[in-house]
Amino acid sequence: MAGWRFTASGIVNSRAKVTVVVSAVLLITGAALRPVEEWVRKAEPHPMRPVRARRINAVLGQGTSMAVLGGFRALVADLLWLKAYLAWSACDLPATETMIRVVTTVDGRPLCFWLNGARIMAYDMTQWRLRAVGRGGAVPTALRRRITDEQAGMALRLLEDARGQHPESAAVCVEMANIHLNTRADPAAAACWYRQAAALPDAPYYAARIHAELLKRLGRPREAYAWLRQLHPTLPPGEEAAGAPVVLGRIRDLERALEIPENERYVAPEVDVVAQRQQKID
Amino acid sequence: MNRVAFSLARMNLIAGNTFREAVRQRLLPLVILVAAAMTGSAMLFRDFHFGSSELKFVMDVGFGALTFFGAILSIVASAQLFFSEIERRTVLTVLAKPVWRAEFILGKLGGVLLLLLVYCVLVTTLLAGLLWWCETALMKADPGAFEAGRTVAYAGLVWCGLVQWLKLGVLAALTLLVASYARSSLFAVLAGFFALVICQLQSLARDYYGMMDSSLARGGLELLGLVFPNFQLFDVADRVAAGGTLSIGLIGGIAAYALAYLSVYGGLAVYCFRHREL
Amino acid sequence: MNAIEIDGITKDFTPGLFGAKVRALDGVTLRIGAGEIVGLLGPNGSGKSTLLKIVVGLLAPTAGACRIEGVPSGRVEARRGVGYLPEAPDFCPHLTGFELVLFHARLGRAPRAGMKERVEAVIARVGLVEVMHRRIGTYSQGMRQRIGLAQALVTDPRVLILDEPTAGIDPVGAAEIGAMINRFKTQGRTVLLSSHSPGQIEDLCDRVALLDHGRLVLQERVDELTRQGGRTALLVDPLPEGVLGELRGWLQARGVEFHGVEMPRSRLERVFLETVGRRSKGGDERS
Ligand SMILES: Nc1ncnc2c1ncn2[C@@H]1O[C@H](COP(=O)(O)OP(=O)(O)OP(=O)(O)O)[C@@H](O)[C@H]1O
Ligand SMILES: [Mg+2]
Repeated sequence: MAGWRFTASGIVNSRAKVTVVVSAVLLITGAALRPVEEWVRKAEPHPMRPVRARRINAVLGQGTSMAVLGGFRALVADLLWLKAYLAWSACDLPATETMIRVVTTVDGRPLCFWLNGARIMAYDMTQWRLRAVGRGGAVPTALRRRITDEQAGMALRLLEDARGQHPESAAVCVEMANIHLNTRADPAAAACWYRQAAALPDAPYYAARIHAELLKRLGRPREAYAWLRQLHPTLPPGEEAAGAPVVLGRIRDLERALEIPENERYVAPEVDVVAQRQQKID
Repeated sequence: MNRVAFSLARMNLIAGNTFREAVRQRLLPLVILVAAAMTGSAMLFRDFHFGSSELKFVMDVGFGALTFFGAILSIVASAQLFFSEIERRTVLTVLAKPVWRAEFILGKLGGVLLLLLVYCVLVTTLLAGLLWWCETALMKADPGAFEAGRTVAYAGLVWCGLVQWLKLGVLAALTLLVASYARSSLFAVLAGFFALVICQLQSLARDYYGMMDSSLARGGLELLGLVFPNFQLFDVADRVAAGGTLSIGLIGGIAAYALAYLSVYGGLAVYCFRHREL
Repeated sequence: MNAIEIDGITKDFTPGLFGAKVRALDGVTLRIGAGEIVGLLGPNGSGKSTLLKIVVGLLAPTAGACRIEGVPSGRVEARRGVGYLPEAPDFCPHLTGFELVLFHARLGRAPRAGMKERVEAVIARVGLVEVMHRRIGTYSQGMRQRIGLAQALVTDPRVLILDEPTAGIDPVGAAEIGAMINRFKTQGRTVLLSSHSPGQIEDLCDRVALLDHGRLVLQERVDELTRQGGRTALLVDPLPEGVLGELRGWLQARGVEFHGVEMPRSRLERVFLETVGRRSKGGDERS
């Protein structure tokens, strides 16, 4: 670079030249950086789904959707969650349902929106409807059943959508299991979801234990016993939440109940063996 | 004849002077105050007793304010600090010294980057303090929810602040490029905001309209996507607030992307400025 | 070697993208030797500022070339020994005068040792010591002009290019700056300055270059120009009745042509210089 050179051409030419050079360099840069851009986009743990623009526009109006698209998606979702909260405080069922749906559409990344939304649908809304139907009096069992089922269905559909965005989240499966168990009194479905939850990497330890408990309650103690036998060696002995002694206790209970012969009974690995195995893994 | 080499020291001198001017113009204090007020107003969420998701709200509002006012600061400061030199003709006294035009324009960029860094550090620190305070209050109120210790990813917060700085830096370099070519400060500011909108929206637009029939419109979008950086890549704060994590690789990728754009915009700004009539 | 060589400089401006060309300079050629003081004289819009910017390398000419101490103006190296004062400079109002001059001293790669003292000395030379730690935003027009001069001088340049150095400066200050420029001459520095005021150029410069509509219409040594006609003016106290007639007759008898009578026009300036100048001198003695 030897200083800027005096050009003999006029300014119009010079400006035109600058414009062309700048545009060309920008295009080349954009093309060259495409791979980096794609790589960063792919590296997202929860790839951002394009929000369905029409749907958001219909609910929120143009301005808010611009904010959503303009990088303030989380903030908009928070504010909409506030609206959902206000509707919830007023026990306004249609508004609450719409807002929960909108919030999760705008920003499906935070789990708390999905989980809290499902709980509101399954439990609170059921209460509201029962209260409205009963007007203080008792609600006929058939009607109660229907309302509870409908609300559980609504919550489960929401959680199915959540699984679409968070396939690796155990919390969603646990929530589904809870709803099956608590509102529909369907331990078989619940057991199934607890097992799915237990298979996921961030599963809480209790999911596997409850799965066994439900199998026992369903009259399938052999399955429960087999499940617990293969579960126990995977539990870290030192951790309280893992509850290895509790699981061992249940195994012994089942062995007594099922009258498993002494020589076929489960032999717990020595603690230090487990520790050695742990060390190898580390 | 001894050559005068490009000197980092002189560039830093100009950067320091630019930063000092911005600070004395009360540009930075004003924006920091506003962003702080916004962040503080996130405390209103406390009245709703959301429990631990209150922290997510505070974080979202804080980063929203950081990004929003940072974008304004970045565009206005770049255009203003450049054109004030042109309009006051002080650029003439600077360039009448043995100073490369590259040193001048990169010094301006450096000054704005420093300004944005201070801004991002201050607002992020403030946000972290606020979160810490809120979290402590929540932990006292509901110890059960915090059995595993604090839930806010404070390290992630720092990374988010850094990524926001990179994004604002790219925006500043883009605005400076426009300013080095444009005739008026107003034009540069408007073009900066226009570019910001395109940068933020172009990738979504490509996703939506990628399947469009009109190949003309699709080609146009592709072209926009090539010319402007994709700012969606920098929106990592949402992810941290939503409980996600940031890998070093991801941050490295984002930083590489930002630095590439920073150097290209800086280089082009130098090129435009060398062809500018003063 | 000439300190400044201006060779057939032509400059066209094109305001707007499709505007008509404006020819600001048209084939200007001028050579300035080392140690010479040359004044550019010309009406508004004649191209003085444009020419000076081209000399400093801030503008590229449409045609022609320009060199400072043999180095083409467009190169950064050419500006190593140059001090430039732009027309009506306006500095960042948030800086103090001291900070501004220090900044330019550093930019001009002045040696670090003793830099602060040198900056203070330069500011003292332009008479701003009392206000140097005040923000420039609080300066008057003339103070800004002086601080502009200080930033041009602080790198101790061999070539000074001053665009209307005394615009907005009071006559005392203008006289001081004139004295400063005269000192540059004894120090062997080269000065190229522009002015509207023929009187100032006459006082300061060795040579005058007259620009009109971008053309160099005249360049001549000032003493040659002023000696033209070789006339003599007498300045006397008010003449009594009839003396003028006698004087005229007396001169005619000796063959001296009598051209006319004028009232001296610069009386007010002289009064100003005598009163204010004495006051500021007195102030110096006190301090
Ligand atoms: N940037 C520019 N764009 C277009 N025209 C310009 C530009 N700068 C100067 N001119 C034109 O060039 C001519 C010379 O201007 P210049 O400023 O050199 O005059 P000047 O002799 O310094 O006048 P003054 O005594 O008023 O300072 C004028 O006609 C002016 O309009
Ligand atoms: Mg002029």
